[in-house]
Amino acid sequence: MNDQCIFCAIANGKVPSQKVYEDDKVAAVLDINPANPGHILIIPKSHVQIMPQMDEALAGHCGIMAKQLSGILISQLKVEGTSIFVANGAAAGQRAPHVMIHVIPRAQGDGVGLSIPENKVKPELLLQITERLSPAIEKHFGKVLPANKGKEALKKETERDENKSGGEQSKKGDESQNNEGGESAEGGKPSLDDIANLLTGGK
Amino acid sequence: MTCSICDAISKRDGVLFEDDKIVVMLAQNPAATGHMMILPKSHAPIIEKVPDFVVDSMFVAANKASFSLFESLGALGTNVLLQNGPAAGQSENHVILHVIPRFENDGLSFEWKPRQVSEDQLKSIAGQLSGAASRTVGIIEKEKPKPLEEKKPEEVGKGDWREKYLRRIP
Repeated sequence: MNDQCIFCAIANGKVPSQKVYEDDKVAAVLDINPANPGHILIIPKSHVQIMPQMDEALAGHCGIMAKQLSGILISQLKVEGTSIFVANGAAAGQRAPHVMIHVIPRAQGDGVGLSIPENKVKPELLLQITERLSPAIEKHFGKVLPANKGKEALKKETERDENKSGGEQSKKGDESQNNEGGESAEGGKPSLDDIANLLTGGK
Repeated sequence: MTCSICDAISKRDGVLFEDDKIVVMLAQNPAATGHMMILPKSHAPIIEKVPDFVVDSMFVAANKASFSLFESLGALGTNVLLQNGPAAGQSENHVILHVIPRFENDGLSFEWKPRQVSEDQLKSIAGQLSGAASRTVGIIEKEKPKPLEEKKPEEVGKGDWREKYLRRIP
């Protein structure tokens, strides 16, 4: 627990709140400025700035609590659905330097939003992104399935190998350097602490 | 009724990882470059129908997805979002836990207008919800242990190094 953090104080009962549930790991309280009445905040009792910093046991527990509290909102408030939402990092809209999992009761046309835009992208771009993600996916999840490369990528690989053996240097595979939309960071990638510190200015 | 998500899983469209409980996919119509989706492998329309131990795995996977996006694409943040029910914007009939990478000035916004609610109303809602929660929240369904596979007696084939032990001296 961090003495300077108001959310640690709320979760650990040092500051009054409208508590809905608590156990040894989390406290669930009502948001006093809710998106809709009944909006619950699940706050871990230990001080964690962003969800990826949690250990797996706590992350999994928060997920289960979100599911169970969503069920309570639906059965008790008779709402038509819920939004479960987390913002990791200021760029994601995080305001407070302490993890909060939002469980928000929803009704048709309530104006709360949280809709997800869809963009059509070319299959080649999706393959490029898959290739860029693959090393990290393998590192964090385990073995990447060979089948998930898809027929197109496997075909490309076969073509590349055939061209190499034929003496031609096909550079098709190097298109992963192309930054569509300009999203990739120049130079070093941000660390987890960098992202968390973007909220607090390094405090 | 067919599920287009279950179809996509079986066709391996955009699948990055799967195990016995979850599937991790790259969104085919992404909100942002690298938008990932974590799904329960077994069909479920809403989160309440997903067993607790699978939900556990899904949220652990969401963190791993966030790590992958920070490291591979230089994302500066991620949003984890589950649209539970059509009123929340759910469009597919299969639970999806979205992990959306965020970058500065990416044009995305997941914000809402906070409402003013009276102290009395908050107290009343808290009372109602906590009463119900005390009865059921915190009781967690664990995964059932898999039945032990029956071991078939090993057959020692010709050329197996153990073959010599079969030839007993009477």
